Amino acid sequence: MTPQGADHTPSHTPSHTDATRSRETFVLDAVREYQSVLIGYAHTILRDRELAQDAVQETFLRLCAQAPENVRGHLRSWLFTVCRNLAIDKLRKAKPFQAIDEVQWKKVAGPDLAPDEQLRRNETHSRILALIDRLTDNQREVILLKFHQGLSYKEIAAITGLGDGNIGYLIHNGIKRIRELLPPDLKI
Amino acid sequence: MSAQRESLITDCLLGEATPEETSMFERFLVENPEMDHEADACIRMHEAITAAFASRGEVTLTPARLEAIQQALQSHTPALPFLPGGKPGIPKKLALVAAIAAAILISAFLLTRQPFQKPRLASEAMPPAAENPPPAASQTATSKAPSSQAPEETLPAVFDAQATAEPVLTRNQPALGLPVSHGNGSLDSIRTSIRSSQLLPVPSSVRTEELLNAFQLRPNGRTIVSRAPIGNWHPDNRSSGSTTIAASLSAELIPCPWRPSACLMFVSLRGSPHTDTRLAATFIPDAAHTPSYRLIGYDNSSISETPTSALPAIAPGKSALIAVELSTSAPYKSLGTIRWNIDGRPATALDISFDPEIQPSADARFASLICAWSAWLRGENIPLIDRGLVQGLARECDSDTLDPKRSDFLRLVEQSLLLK
Repeated sequence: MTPQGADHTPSHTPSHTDATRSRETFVLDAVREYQSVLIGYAHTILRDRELAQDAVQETFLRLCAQAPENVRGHLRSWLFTVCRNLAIDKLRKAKPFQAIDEVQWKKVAGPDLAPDEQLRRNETHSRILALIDRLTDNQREVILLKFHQGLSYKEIAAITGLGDGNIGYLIHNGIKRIRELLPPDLKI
Repeated sequence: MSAQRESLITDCLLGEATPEETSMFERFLVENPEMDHEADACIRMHEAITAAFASRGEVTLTPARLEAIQQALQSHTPALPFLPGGKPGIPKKLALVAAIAAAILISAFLLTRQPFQKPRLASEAMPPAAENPPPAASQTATSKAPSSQAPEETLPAVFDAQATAEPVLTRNQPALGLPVSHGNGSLDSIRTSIRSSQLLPVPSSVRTEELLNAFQLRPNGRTIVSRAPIGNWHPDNRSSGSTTIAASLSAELIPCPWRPSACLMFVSLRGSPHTDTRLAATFIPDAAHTPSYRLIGYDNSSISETPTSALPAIAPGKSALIAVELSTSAPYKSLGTIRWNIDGRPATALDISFDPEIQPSADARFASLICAWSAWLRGENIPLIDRGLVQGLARECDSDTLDPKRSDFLRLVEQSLLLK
C-alpha cells in the first residue's frame, strides 16, 4: 500500500458534466491511498495519535476545497506539505514537550520465516522504529519521507523547506546513529 | 573516513548523488576494497529501515473522521478550477498582480516602519525616579559595578513586556554589547510572592538576567580560556605553571523551544578565580545567517552596540550568563562572532555556529526553562510561551540527581503554574 517512487495520483477521468462526482471520487481515492502514510507522517511530527488523525482529517478537508485540476500531478507532495504545515501548527498550539508515548503499531510478519527468524526480524523492526523515534525531529522526518515514501531529496526539500544538501546529511547522520544504538545482538 | 565521504556513500546508495559523485564513489571503492563491507552494511541498514516502516500496520482515519470528510465533500460547492487555457473563475493574472501588489505594500510597510522607536506610553517614557527603569542592554553593559560591593538589587519597575519580546534586525543593529552585570533580588522576590502571598509576582519584578545568574549554569559549548602570567612569568618557562586563568568565555546554542526558526545562545563570561576581572563582550551577528536577534530579558529598544569606557567587573570566581535568541535558518553556518576584552586587552574571538544535532546540556535546558518561565510570568507577547511549554520544559529538567536549589526552583515553577 505504501506508495513508492512516482506520484500515485488516483486515476480517474474527470467529467465536466459531473464535476462534483469527479471531485468526490478524486478525494475519496486520495483518502484511501494516503490516509495511512499521512497519519504515520503526522505522527512523526506530533507524536500523538489523536493529533495526527486531526491533522490528516484537516488535510483531506482542505483537499475537498481544491479543484482536482489544481493538485492533480503533484497530489502526493501537496498532501504532505499541507499535512506537515497543519501538524506543525498543532504542535505549536499543543504542549510541545509532552512525554513521548510509545508508538504502537501492528506488526505484520512475513509468512515464510521460521518462528525464531520471524521473532528476530520483528524485534529488529520494532527496535529500529523505537530508535527512529529517538532521532531529532528533522532526522526522523527526512528518514520517514525517504524510506517510507521513497521521495527524492528534492521532493523532501520541497515539503520540509530544508536544503537539498542538508537532507543527505540528516539521513546519513540519522542512520549512523541508529547503527550505533542498535544492540550487538541485533546489529545489521 | 571523513564525514563528507560517509555522507557521499549514503547519497550514492540512495541514488541521490550526481554522476561525478558516483564515479568518485566508485573510484573510492576500487581503491579501498575494504569499504565494500561498509557499503553492504549501509544497504542492509537501508533495507531494514524500509522494512521496519513497512512492518507498521495500516492506520486509518476513524469512521467519524471519514464521515466528516464525506459530509464536507457533499456540502462543499465545487472549487473554481484553474483551466489550462488561463480562464479560471478568478482571473489568474489578476490574482497574481494583486498578490504582488500586496507583497510590495507589506514590504514597504515593514521597511519604513521603525520597530524600535514605537510610541511609548507617558508612564514608560518618564518612569518615576524612585523606580529603576527596565533593564536595558546599553545601561548594564557599560555600567560600572565594583565587585567589592554586593550586587545591586533591582527594584520593581515599569516594565515594557512588549519591548522585551521584540527582536532586533541585524541590519539595523549590527552589534550587541552583552550586559555583564546583574542584580540578584528577583528570585527571592518571586519566591516570596508565590509562596507567601500565593500570588504571581508583578511582571516588573521578574528579571530574567537575575534568575539566570541565580544558578551556577555553565554552557557546554565552545570555550575560550584566556590565561595571564603570575609574577615573573616568561614564555621560556611556561611549563612551570606560573600562569593563571584570566577569564573564560563559553557559548552554547540550543534549539529555541518557543520559536522553531530560532536558536538560543547562552554566553557565559567567567572572571579570574583570584581577582576582579573587567570584562566586555560584543556579539557581532552575521547578517547573512542571523537576520534578527533578541537579548532575552532586556528592553531591546535601547540596545548598545559596544560597551565603551568603564567595563563592568566580575568578582573572583564569578560569572555572568547572558541569553540571546537568534533567528536563523542556517544550521552549521557561522551565525556571528563574540569579541571580548579582558581588562581592556582584546582576547581571542569566539565564532558562533549552531549544530542542531548536538544534544543540549542540562544547564542549557535549565536556562531555557528560566527564560520561558520568566517570559510567561511577565506576559511577554510570545505566542508559543504558555503554561504547557513551561510545564514541559520543567519536566525535561527534572531528575533524581538534581541539585537541591534547582529542585526547589522546579517546585516554585510548578506552584506558579497552579496560581495562574
